[in-house]
Amino acid sequence: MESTAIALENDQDIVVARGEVRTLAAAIGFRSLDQTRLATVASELARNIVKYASRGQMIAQPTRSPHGREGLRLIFEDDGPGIANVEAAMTDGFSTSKGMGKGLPGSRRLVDEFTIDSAPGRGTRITVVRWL
Amino acid sequence: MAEQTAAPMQDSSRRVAEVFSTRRDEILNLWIKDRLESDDFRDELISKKELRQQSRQLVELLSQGIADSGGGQFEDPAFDELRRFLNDISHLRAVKGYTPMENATYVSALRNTVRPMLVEDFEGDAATLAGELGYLASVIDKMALVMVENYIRSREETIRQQRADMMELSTPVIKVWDKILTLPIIGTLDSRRAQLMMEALLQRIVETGSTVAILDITGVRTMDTLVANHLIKTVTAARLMGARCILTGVSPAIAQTMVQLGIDLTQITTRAQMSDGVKLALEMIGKTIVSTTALAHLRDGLQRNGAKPAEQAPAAAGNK
Ligand SMILES: Nc1ncnc2c1ncn2[C@@H]1O[C@H](COP(=O)(O)OP(=O)(O)OP(=O)(O)O)[C@@H](O)[C@H]1O
Ligand SMILES: [Mg+2]
Repeated sequence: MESTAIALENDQDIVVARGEVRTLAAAIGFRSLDQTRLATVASELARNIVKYASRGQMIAQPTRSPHGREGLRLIFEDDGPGIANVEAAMTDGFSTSKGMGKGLPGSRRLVDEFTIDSAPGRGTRITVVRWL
Repeated sequence: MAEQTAAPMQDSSRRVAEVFSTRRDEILNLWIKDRLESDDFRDELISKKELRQQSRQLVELLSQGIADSGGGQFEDPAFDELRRFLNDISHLRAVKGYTPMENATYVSALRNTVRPMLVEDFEGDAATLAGELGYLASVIDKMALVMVENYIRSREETIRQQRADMMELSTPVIKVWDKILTLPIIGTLDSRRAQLMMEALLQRIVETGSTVAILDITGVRTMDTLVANHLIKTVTAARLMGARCILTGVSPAIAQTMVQLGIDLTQITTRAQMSDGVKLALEMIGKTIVSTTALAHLRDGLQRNGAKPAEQAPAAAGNK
């Protein structure tokens, strides 16, 4: 299966990204619970982009592990302000916008792999994978 | 000479100002005539009288602006009144159905009217003529831009309004029983819709004096921190207004996802099904659903014990 890129700029784009992830996840064979998990992660990370970086994109790639396991990889990238203290941002309850501060740490708990690469002025790139 | 290069646009001897003041009526008549004869004129949209009035005021404000600013740029505060007027008429014309193109052409045509007069007056003075023509063009172009910009703004406003209306339709707060409201949340919740829905609920709680609200999320597939946050805030706000909320229709997938996200919904009373929520809500307002047979038994029992069949005994809120 091919990868899909979705531009993220507004609320509507978040809804689109969420729907796309759900469709892909279902096609790969994820059950309802995992579909919901992945759609929720997409919602959180896409919203962070719209909220903090104004714009960016999500790339969704059906993937296969070296052991032949199927999965879905989602990449969220933006050229926004970046995160000054990644460790703090990954802590439950940390928010610079009076949010719940659950988006990043919660997303990490909802997937099997989570990598974040961010620095002030260099934007943010988050890659997550969930295996079937 | 040095003065002129330092502030070429503030040249108080701006000749076009003279043209406007001495030949105003002529300009006005020619411009209107041109408009009335053009293909753009649509008398079903605007009457001749109205066009004449608008155009007169526009020419007056323009020549006023040029004079007051000493031949300054359109950004000069001296043109504020003209800008306001352009905003007003472009809005009016947008509502009437003129296209942005027609709005812009209306204003640009004024330049074509004035141009030959300038040529006539300054034929022998090429430098002045070029300067005046350039100035006239820059001011009128910006006026045309205001007409277009404002047209777009008016249309966006209309679209926003329509969208708001649609959202309101999709957030129905239903009164199911005296003092009990339900809010069936269906479809995708974006931040704006969540916000609107919560506002609508709180509003209805006040209007109806309700004490229980059932929020049903059976139709919601994905709940994220933002929506959860809206929910929690609404429940808290409702509580402050004396109403308690019951959350129903939480799917197993959403329940587990919420736990993993780390969102604590335990402070919200939850029932699996909407029907369970209704039952609980009735209990909260001191009513219960009793089957008619059970009610008959109850009556019998009371009668056997020598008591009168109580008319208003266990209030029945319906039949099973
Ligand atoms: N793409 C991004 N660009 C810049 N800063 C970000 C980005 N994503 C997250 N952040 C920063 O990390 C913080 C934590 O993000 P997280 O999603 O965990 O919480 P939140 O967005 O504040 O609240 P919520 O619980 O509603 O998601 C944010 O407050 C923000 O300062
Ligand atoms: Mg967030």
